[in-house]
Amino acid sequence: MKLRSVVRNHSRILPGCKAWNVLLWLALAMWPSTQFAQVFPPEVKKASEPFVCQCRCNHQLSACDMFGCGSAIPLREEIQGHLKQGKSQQQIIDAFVAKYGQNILSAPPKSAWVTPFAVLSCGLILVFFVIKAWTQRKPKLAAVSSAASMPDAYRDRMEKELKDLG
Amino acid sequence: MLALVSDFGQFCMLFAFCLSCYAIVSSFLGGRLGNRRLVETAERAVMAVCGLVTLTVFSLWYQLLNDNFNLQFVAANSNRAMPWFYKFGALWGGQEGSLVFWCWILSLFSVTAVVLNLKKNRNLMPYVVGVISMVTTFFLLVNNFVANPFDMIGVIRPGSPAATPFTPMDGNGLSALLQYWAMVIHPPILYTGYVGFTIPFAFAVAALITRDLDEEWIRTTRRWMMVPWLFQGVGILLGAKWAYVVLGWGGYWGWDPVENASLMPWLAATAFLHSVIMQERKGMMKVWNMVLILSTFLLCIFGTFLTRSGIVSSVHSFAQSPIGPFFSSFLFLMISLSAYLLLTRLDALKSENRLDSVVSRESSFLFNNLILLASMFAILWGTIFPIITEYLQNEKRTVSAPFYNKVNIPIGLFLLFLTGVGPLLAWRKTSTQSLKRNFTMPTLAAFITGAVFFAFGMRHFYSMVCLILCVFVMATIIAEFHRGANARRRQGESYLEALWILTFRNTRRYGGYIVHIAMVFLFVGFAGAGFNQDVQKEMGPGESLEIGSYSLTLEQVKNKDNANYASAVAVMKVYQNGKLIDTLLPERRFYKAREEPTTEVALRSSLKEDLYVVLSGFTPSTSRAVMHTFLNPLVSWIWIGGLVFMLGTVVCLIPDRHEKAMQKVAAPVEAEELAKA
Repeated sequence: MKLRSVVRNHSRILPGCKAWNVLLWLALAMWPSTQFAQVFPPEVKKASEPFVCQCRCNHQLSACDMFGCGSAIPLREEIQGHLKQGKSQQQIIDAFVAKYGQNILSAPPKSAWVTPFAVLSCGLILVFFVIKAWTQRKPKLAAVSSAASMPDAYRDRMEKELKDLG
Repeated sequence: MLALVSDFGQFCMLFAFCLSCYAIVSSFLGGRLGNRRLVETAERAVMAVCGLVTLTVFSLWYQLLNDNFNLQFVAANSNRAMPWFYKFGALWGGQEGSLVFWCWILSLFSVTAVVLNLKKNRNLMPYVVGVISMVTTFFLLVNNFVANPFDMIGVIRPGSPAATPFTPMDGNGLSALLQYWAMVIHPPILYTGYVGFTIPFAFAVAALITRDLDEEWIRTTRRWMMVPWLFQGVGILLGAKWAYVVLGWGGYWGWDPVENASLMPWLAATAFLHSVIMQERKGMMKVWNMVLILSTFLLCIFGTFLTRSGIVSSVHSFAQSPIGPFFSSFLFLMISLSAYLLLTRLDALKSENRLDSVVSRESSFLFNNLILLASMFAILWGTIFPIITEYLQNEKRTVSAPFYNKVNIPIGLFLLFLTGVGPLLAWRKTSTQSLKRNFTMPTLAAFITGAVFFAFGMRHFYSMVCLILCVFVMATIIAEFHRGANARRRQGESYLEALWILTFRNTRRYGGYIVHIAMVFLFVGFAGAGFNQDVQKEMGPGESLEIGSYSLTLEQVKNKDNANYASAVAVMKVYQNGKLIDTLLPERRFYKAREEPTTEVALRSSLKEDLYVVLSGFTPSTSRAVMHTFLNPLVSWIWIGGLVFMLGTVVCLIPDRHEKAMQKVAAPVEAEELAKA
C-alpha cells in the first residue's frame, strides 16, 4: 500500500510521463525502506543529541543522515513519542538506557573524560621536570663531544681540508 | 586463460612468501656474520619478491577486469555493470585484494630503500632488509593462508566428498560507498602512508640492533618519515572529502574508529618530524625520537587491526574478516621486539646537550610534542574505550563526536598557538627584546581581529579563538618570510626573487613554514563548523526553502536508470537576492547488484561557504521529496590547506644547500669506508 502511494504521489511531481511512472514504480518496488525520509521538528533533533545512532555510523542521532540508515527514523519517532507524552530530557535518556543499554548514549561516562586530561597533566609535570633537569645539567663541551663522536673518516677529511686551507 | 592467469598469480604469491622468508634469514644471518654476499642475496630476494607481488597484483586485476566470478574475491567485489575504473579500484575494495595491494606497495618501498642504500648505510642495511622482510612475510602469510584472493567458489553437492567449482552469472559489485572517484585514489594514497612508515621503523630497529645511533641514520630516517607522512596526510584529507561528498550528513570528519586509526600515526609522525630537529641540532631527545618512530609504525598496525578485525563499529565495515588474531599477534610481536631493543639500548641514546633557558626553541619543541601526543592519546583512548568497557564491565559503551570534539578542540587550539610561537623563539635562549620584536605585530593583529569579530557579533567562543589564533600564526609566518626577504634585498635582489631564493636555500625551514600556513588554512576551515546551519524540509515541485542568503526551489524530480543503478535526481534552482545563480542536482541512487542506496550530494562551493544539498529520501505517507540543506562556512579552506600542505612538504623534501653539501662530503667518505671494508 505504501509503495503504491509513493508512486501515485511521484507521478504528481512528474506529470505526463507514463513510461517514467512504470520505471519509477519498478525502481521503488526494489528500494528498501531506507529510501524513506522524514522531517522532525527541532525539539526532536535537540532531544536526540545525547544519543548515538545505531547504524554503525557513530554519529549522534541528531546528525545521522546517512544513506542506508535504518535506525535513525524509528529512534527519532520514539523520541517524538516521549516528547508528546510530556517527558523531560532526563526521562527520555533513562527510558532509552533502560531499553537499549548504555551503548545508546553518545557521551561516555566521566572516567573517559577525565583520563586524557589526567594524562595531559602528567605530561605537563613530566615536561616541567625534564626542562628543569636539562637546564640544571652541567654544560658539556658539546663541540668536543661531537668531534669525539665523529667517525674517523670524517675527522681525517676535516683535518686534511683544514690543513689545505691553512 | 583466466584460470591459467589465476593459478599463475597464486603461484607468484606463494613463491614471494618463500623468498621473503629466505630474505629474513639471509639478511639477519649475513648481518650477524658480516657476510656481505649473504646480505646481497637477501637484497636480491627483496627485489624478486617485489616482482612476484607485482605479477600477483596484475593477475588479480586481470581477473577483475575480465569478470572471473569463479573467484570469491571477484564475485564479492565486482560485477559486469561496473565501469572499468571501479573494477580496477575493486582491488582494494575488499579484504583479500587490499592486503595484496598493501603488500605490493610495501614491496615497492622495500626495493626503493634497497636501491637508494646500495652504497650508504651498509652497516644498517642487513637489518633494515630483515625487518622489512618480516613485515612483508606477515602480509604474504595472511594472503596465502587466511585471506587468499584466488580462492574459488565451490558448491558442496550431496554425496560428493569435495566442493565442485561454481561460477555465478554475475558478482555482487563493489560497495556503493566506494563507487566514487576519490575512492579510486584515496585508499592507495592512504596505504602508501601506512606502508611507508615501515621503512623508518626498519631503520630505527636496525640502528638499535647495531647500536649505530649517530646522525646519519636519523637524517635518512627523517626523509623516509616525511614521504609517508605526506601521503598519509593527503590520504586523510581525501577520506574527509569522500565522507563530505558521499556520506551525505553534511560533515567531513565523524571521528569514526577507522578515521581515528589513520590520524593517530600521522600525529605521532608529526611529533617526530618536530623533535628530530632537536636531535639533529642539539643531540637531544634521542630516546623520545626512537619511541616516536616505533610508535608510528605500531599505531599503523594497530589501525589496520582495528579496520580489519571488526572489533569496533565503523562505517568502514566493508573490509572485515576474521584476520584479527593474526594482526594482534603480529602487533604483540612487534611491540615486544621494539620494547626489548629500546630498553637494552638506553645507554647509547643519552642526550648530549643541556637546555640553556625555559624560553627557547627547545622548550617549544617539548610542548609541541606533548600536545601532539596528548591529542593522539585522547583519540586512542576514545577509540579503545568501548573495547575496554566491554572487556572489563561486559557492557559496550559508545564514544562519539561530543567526546572527541570537547577534548581535542582545546588541545588543537593550544597546538595552533604553539605553531605561531615556536618558530619565533630563538635556539638556546630568547631575549626579552627579541620577544618584543617578534611578537608585537602578530599579537596586535590578533587583538584587532578579535575586536572586529566581536563588533560584528561573533559569539561562538571556540571558532572566535581559532580564527584569532589563525591570524596570529599567519602574521608570525608572514613576518618570518618578510624579515628573511628584506635581509636578502640588501644584496640587490627583488622582493619576489629574495623570497624564492630564501625558500630554496633553506627548504626545511621555509617548507616547514608553508606546512604551517596549510595548518592555518585547515583551522580556518574547522572554525567554520561553529557557524553551520541546516534546514530539512518536505518539498513538492515549485516549493522553496530558505537558508542563509539563499532560496532553493525544487523544480522537479527526474529518474535515471542504467545497468549499475537507478536514481532519483532533484532539480533545485538556487536563488540569491531574487536572482537565479545556479541549478543543483542532488541525487539518490540505488545500486542494483548490492541493493544499496547512496546519496550524491550537490554542492555549490566558494571560499566563503558551501551550499550542500542532499536528497534525503521521500516521505512514506505523501512521497514528497525530503531535502536536507546545509550551509557550511569556510569548508573550502580545508581542501586548499591540503594543497598547501602538499606543496610545503614537497619543498621540505627538496635537498637544500646545506644538505647537498653534507651529501657531497658524505659520499666520498662512505666510498672510502666501503673500500676499506
